[in-house]
Amino acid sequence: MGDSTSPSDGPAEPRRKSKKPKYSRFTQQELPACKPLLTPMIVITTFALIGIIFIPIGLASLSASEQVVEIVYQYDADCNPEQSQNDKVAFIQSSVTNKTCIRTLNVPRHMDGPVHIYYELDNFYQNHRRYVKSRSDKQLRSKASEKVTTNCAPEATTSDGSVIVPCGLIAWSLFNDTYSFAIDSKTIEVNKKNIAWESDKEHKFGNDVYPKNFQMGGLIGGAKLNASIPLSEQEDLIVWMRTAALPKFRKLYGRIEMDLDANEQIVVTIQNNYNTYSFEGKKKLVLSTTSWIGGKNDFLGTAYLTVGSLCLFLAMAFIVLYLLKPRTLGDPSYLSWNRNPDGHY
Amino acid sequence: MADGERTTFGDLLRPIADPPVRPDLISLSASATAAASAAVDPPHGSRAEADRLGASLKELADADARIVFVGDPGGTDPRLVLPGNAVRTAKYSFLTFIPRNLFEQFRRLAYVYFLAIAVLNQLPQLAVFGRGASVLPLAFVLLVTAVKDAYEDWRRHRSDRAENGRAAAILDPAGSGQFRPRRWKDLRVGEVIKVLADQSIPCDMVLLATSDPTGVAYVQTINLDGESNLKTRYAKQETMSRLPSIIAGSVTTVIRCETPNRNIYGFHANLEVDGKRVSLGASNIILRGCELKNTAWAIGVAVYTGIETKVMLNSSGATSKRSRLETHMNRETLLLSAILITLCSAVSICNGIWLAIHRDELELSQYFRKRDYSGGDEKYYNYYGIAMQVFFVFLMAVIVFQIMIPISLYISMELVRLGQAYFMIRDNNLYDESSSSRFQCRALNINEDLGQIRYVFSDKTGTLTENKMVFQCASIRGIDYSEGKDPSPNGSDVYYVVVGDQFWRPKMLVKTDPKLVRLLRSEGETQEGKHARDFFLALAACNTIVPLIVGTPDPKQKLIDYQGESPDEQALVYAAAAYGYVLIERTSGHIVIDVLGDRQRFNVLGLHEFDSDRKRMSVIIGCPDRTVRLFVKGADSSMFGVLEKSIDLDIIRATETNLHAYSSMGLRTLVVGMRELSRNDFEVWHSAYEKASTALYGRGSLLRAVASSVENNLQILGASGIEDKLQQGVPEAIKSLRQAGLRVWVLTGDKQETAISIGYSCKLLTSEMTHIVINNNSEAACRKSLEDAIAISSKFVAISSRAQNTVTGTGSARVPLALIIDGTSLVHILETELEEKLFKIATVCDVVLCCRVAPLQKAGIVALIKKRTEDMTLAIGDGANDVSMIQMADVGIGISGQEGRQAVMASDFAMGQFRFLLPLLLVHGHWNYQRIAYMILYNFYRNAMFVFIMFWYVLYTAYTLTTAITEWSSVLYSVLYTALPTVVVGILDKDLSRRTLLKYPRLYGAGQREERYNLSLFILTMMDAIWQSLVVFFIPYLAYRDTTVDGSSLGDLWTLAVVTLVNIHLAMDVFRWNWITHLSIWGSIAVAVMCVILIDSIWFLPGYWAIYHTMKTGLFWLCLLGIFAAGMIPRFTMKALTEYFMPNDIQISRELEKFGNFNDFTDCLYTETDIRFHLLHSAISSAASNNTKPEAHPSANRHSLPCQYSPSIVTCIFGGVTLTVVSFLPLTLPPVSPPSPPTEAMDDQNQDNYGGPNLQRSALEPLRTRWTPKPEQILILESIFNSGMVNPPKDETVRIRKLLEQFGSVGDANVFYWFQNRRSRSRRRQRQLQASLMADPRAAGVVQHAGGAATSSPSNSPGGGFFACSSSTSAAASSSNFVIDDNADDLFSISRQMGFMEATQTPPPFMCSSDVSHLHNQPETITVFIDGVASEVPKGPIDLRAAFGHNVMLVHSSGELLPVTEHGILMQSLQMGESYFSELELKNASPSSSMHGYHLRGVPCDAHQYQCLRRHSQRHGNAPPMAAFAKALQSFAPFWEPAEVVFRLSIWRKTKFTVLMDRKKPLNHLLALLLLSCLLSMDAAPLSSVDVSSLVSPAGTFALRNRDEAATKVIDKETAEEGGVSLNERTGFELDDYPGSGANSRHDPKNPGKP
Repeated sequence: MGDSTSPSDGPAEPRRKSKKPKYSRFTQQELPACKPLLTPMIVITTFALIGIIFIPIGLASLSASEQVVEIVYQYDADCNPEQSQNDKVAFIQSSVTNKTCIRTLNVPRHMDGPVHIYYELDNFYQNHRRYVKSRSDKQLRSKASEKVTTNCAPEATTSDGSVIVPCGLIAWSLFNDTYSFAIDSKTIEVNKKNIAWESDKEHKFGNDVYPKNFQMGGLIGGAKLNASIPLSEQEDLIVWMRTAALPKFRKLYGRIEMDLDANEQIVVTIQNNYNTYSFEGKKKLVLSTTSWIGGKNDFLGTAYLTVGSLCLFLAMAFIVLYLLKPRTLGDPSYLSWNRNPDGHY
Repeated sequence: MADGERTTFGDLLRPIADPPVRPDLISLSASATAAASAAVDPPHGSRAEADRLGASLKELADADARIVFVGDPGGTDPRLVLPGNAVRTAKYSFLTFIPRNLFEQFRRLAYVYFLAIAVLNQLPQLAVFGRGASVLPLAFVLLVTAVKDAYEDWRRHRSDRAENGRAAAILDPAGSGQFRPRRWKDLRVGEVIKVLADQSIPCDMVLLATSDPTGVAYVQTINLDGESNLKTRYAKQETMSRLPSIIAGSVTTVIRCETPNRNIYGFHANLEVDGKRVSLGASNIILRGCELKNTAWAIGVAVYTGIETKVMLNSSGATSKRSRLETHMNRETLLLSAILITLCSAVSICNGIWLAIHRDELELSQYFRKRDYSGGDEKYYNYYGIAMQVFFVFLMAVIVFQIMIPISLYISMELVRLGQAYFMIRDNNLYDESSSSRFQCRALNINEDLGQIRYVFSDKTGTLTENKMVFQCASIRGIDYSEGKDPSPNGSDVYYVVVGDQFWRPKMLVKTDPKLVRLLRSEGETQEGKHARDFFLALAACNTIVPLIVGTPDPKQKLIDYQGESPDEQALVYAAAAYGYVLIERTSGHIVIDVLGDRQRFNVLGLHEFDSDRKRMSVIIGCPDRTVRLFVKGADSSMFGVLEKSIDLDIIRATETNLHAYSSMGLRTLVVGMRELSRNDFEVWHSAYEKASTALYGRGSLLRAVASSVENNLQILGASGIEDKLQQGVPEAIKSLRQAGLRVWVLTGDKQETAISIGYSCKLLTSEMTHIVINNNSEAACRKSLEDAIAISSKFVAISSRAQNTVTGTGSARVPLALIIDGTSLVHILETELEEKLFKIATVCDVVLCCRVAPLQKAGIVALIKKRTEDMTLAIGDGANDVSMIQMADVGIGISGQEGRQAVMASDFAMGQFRFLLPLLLVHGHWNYQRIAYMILYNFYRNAMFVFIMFWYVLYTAYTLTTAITEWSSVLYSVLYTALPTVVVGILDKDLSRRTLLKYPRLYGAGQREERYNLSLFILTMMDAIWQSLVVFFIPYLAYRDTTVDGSSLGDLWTLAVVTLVNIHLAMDVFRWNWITHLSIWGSIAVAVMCVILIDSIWFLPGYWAIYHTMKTGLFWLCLLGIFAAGMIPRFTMKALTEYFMPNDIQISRELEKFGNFNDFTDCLYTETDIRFHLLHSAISSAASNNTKPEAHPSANRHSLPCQYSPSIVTCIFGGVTLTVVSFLPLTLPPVSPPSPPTEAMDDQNQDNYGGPNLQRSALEPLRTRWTPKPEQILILESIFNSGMVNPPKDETVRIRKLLEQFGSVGDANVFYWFQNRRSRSRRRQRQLQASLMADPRAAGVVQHAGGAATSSPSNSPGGGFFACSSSTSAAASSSNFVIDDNADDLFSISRQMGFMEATQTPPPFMCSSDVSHLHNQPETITVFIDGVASEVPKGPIDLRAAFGHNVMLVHSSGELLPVTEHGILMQSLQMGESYFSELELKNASPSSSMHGYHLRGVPCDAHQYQCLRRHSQRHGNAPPMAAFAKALQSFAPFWEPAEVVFRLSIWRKTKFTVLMDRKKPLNHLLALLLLSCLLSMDAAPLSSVDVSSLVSPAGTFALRNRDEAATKVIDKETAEEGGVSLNERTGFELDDYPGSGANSRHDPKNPGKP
């Protein structure tokens, strides 16, 4: 073996010595490649294709949105008794005032069950920097990390220093208005199960973590929690703690697992507990069906229709332009120096 | 320390030490020296005297001189702690690595910014991101860099260890007198070291003794300054003689030397031995890094060690420059900072306002919770009042929006530049085979500047030329001997020196003039012969060359290698050797010259070195015949002053004439003179010389005075012409550079005539240029000339602009101007107010040629442009004299050539050849610029878009800088999600292929005009970024407004949308998609998706599982889709509109690449072909460079400049088929040798001739049977012959034989004899032609015309007579052309090179035209070529309509339309010898027709091709003149069966048209190309067997027909080539286009216009 290799070393030696770069497609930058060009055909096809795809989608979205039936009732002003209109904050803060508020809502069209019940808050900055940070996911998850209250200030501990579970502003400000519904004085059951994400219930909120020292401080932010139910089953809390993206947001309150017929009168009993009056927040009750596109939303359909028709228009425009001013692709006579031989060559 | 530095500085400023003087002479004065140095420093001595003493002695007496006790390292200068000899190039050690490396890294501003942001983020009030997220990217970058640094440093450590561990022989300090081995790192100053031959020198040491009795040591300094020649160093006689006692330590020897400095050419010290002082200079020290050569041993004492050695002090890092693009980028970065500040201020102010408005509500609002009740004292929780809040928000905003300043851009730019540098270094096209040197990127920061150059300043010697001096001709006593003939290495004409049983021959062969050889050998006794002998004796003796004897594989043969510092001297000594005056040995006292076989010893009595004042050197020789002779050689200007004019006036005149001729041929000239010294003269000189050379101070000027006094009344011996060969490809490179809009200035130290002639030969100057010459001696005169020049130039500009308006309306070529200015004038102009004028005139001129310029003036000229314009400058040079220029220019390029490495060391890029400038600038420069420009804009866009999206969200969070996008995503966005594609695109994307860029040099203008990066593009990009950010933000916002969506889900949507959108955006702009691009772009998107999923799988992050929930909904996908469409529409529309309706050149060229006429490489298919072309190209070029042996070059005829290439044969394997391509490189044929006997007789004779001393004839004998060559073999042989190798040397023969063996067995001898026979055949034909000329004077002009180059050169061209064409794709339409050309041209370029090209070597234009007029002897008519047909037309205006009919316009071959009056009369006279084309349609063509492009046989083609084809079909109908061609071919190729001819033709025809029609088959194309080339190469072979008249007949019919069509037309395709630059392409094309026209052109016959 050694013998057989030694003669081949001879010629190999000078080759290695030569510093000539070894040829490869890569080093010579000649990898096989495609060179796409925006030819008229491609441009027109692209625009037409986008138009053809987008317009049906837009129409479908619009019709889906059209099918959604939505009842929105803003009650923050309505549910304030006449006498406390001037001092809403005092009304809401008072523990003695009757905050029950009964209203009747009309079902405009037939609503297929399940009908989702949302509460909608406006002007409530759940995405405020002070607010979103103010939680302790570790504490929420397991009893062992109960004492981990980083970022939870000012709702980390009670004044005597014991830990608040769940700590932080988010939990503290849990929404506490309640709704009950009745049709023809028959109470409609509101299913409050499975309103939160399974993933949250299973992994984010521990089933061995129980509320402790909650809402015991000087300032009550919102709802109190049943200290005997583990956090993983406090679905209202779980929903609330998935903070909203925008200052106007809806949260799922529950579902009515039945159809509502058109023109039915629903009597809603609202416990108007939550203080949005101090920052002029609005509170709405929303009953809505869903479709594949989610709730009622005309925007996406309109947007798709706009974009689609714009593209179709552009496709037309380009066809016209190409017909009006054709140009042979790759015609060297268009090169600037051929069009305008200015130099000395 | 301060003192030390001052000394160093002073040393550098001080003029270089006196010229080295022979040590034996110095030694005579040693005692005097010592005495004088003791008497130095007279306190009241005159000031002048003290100055003249030179600072060295005085300073060295100062306290900061280093005192070295020889042999006593302990006693050496106790005041100083001297470093050991260990060197440390490594920067770090284990301990210092982290702090030092961090320090180094944080010197980058970007990192400091990073750090500051990260630190800000650590403050609890400002903590926007988690700690990890904010620090991670910085830490990552730091870590990567640190690892890279560590690796590099480890390698340095390793090499340091190896270096330090080398062994040196040290004198045992114990006093035993023995030398013991010691490691290098343990050497100390003062130790005595012995170095043996071929060993490296471990430290800087003063020589004490050498093996040579005179104390000479030769060192090679290649590691130090790159000069490969040997330098002489001397040991002092004092130390030589006392060596034993020094070694024994019995004598105290002390050296006082200057403190370490980096001047490698200077050294000041004195040596005290036995109480005597001897001064030491640069010639007494040998430096670390050198190697001892040719000297058995040398002993020295270490004076500088380790880091104090000069080589270490000189090792400086790469230059750091900042590219223009980066400078501009900084402007935009400032703009971005302004935007950033605006955004931050907006957020913080809004926040303040919001707080103020909601001040009362905040107390109770659940989401704000102003107070903290938990402590009981109800203090504010995290609230510091509105003002503080605003301030904090501002800082937080800076943290959140930090990536607005694309810090990652700086890192990716470095990566990209690194990648670009990698590709430039690896580019085979930038690899120089001859010097085996790769391209070097020494500065990494200015890659993209290469794409924006406008001015190129080039050195001449070594840059444009090879700096390989070759002796060309001599004028001896006024008689010109320039009919040199090339030697073959084995020929009998090579001069050998027989030493014992060995043959010694000079390493380099020089062509010799047989007349002169005869004169020397046989007529030595005549007066003429005596002079010639003296002349060559002078050449052999009057120099400082050291001969080295080098072994060869053949033990009997040795080569004499002449080593010296001046290439001119080398050339002269080689020349002398070739003529029989072989310098064999040189010591300091004598030289041995083999004079025509008789070895003679000459005593060198004195030597006056060359200096720039005298411009000559002289040597005084004691000859064996007891005479003493003075030989002087020098520049003509200095020599004519010292010649004895009274006797030799005629000879001087004649010599001057010859000199003028030489220098106008571009040769460097030297004049040689001699004087025989009488005894008296000698005595006088000798005493003066001794006195001067022993003088203590002012020795240099004294010696000069002595030299001047003796160098007079010389008898002129003659003059020599040395050729500085033009580098390969220089004219083409310059032409392309100028086409690319670059202004090429040549700055040379040569004299004006030489500079101008080189200018012509490298196509810098052309004959149509108007020269403005400025050479004045005074400022006033300069001012006057400049003003005149401005007046002239403005006149020309005015004329041309008028011409533009009246004639074509689109602008035509204006008269090009060339400025030639010399150094003396520049002295008066530079740095005075005249500079402005010079700038004005110089920028108007197309070409500027500066001659006789000093190095600093070169820099001054660069500065002249750099100061006044924004344009980028590039300086290219190879020598130390170019360093200042290279450093001054924006981009400095060093040629790693003959003159050492200083230029390379100072340069930003280094390469082997000037012609590489073309691919470097046009290809890599263009790419680099385009890539970096795009990358910067894209990075700005990408980051700005992200910031804007976050900004829009902030508006919905009560201005509190919440980010919906998770902190990890926002951190990873610019480093992971989107970084790789930009880097990949920045390194790999190519807007245009290499070939296109080289074919259309003007595409380079994009960089010069800053088309790819400017403010408006930046603003557009930013607008686009804002639009896209709006789309990305608001589509989800509006879609999710009324839903239960949580922040994380929406954030994920935004993240994915923005990442995908920016990547799609990039994807749309990518020019070429290869797998890496695909991988990086789609991979990045995938990585982003995966990261988002991963982040949402971490339970403790708020966004846990959000992405899974949102991805389930249709809304999510609809949003994404809508975002892509809506986001891209504006940009896509803009792109589609501009690309189609406002295409720029790059766009059109891209289309050309894809859809272009013959450019049938579509999409992915093209690469295959590309690679084949590449293979061809690289193979051809490597073959070409292998073949380019100086010996093998046929000499040019006298008037053409040497630019010939040997043929090269390339075998490429295409898809299993082996095709042999012979590259037919143009050439000039050698002068015709005397007639030789015909074939059969030749065989034997040749056989004898062939038997050189080395030839193993026995090996050849067996194959000497009758050999019947195969057609392929003949084809190859013919091609080689036609390409100029008429007499291949032995190794070439072997190569050819190997090539031929692929087609059948063949022996070396067969090949050899074939060439012999072929030569004689062509000679015979030449004679026939000459005879027919004599016989028929009427045919004279005809045949001359038909004979192609025959008009302009006396040489015969075997093939040229037939396919003669004017295509002057001059000498070097070499391999590079072959590949550059578009396919269409490629198809023909081979044929052009094969069939046509060999004919012509472009003569200097004036020669050409004068020849033509001479031929015709008809001053009232001139010959022009109309449509390729020679026509006699009257001088002056011609009535075009009368001659050609209506609607005919004449177009000059340059493409310029000739102006015509309304009546169809030409406004200007046609130019003699130029080519014109009649254009029928041009006038009728409506302006819009140009919009449609041309189609021919369904294939789009460009206008010119269209014209050619159309014209052709008008003449011949649609069918090509196959029959005629076939007939002609058949008559030429008797050894081909007719059937075969037809077969080949049919293949040719088929393939050609297949190519035209089926553009998807590159292979066919190649086949066609090869076949065509094969066919056309057949022309010359059978010349001898074909009667000239028979050649005429087939095409004669055409002639008649054509004559009928246009009565004035004459059939003659030959055009006298003039200047040729623009002409060739067109004519070449036309001819090539229709081989039939080749047949056409051949005949010619009687010019009917002739009387």
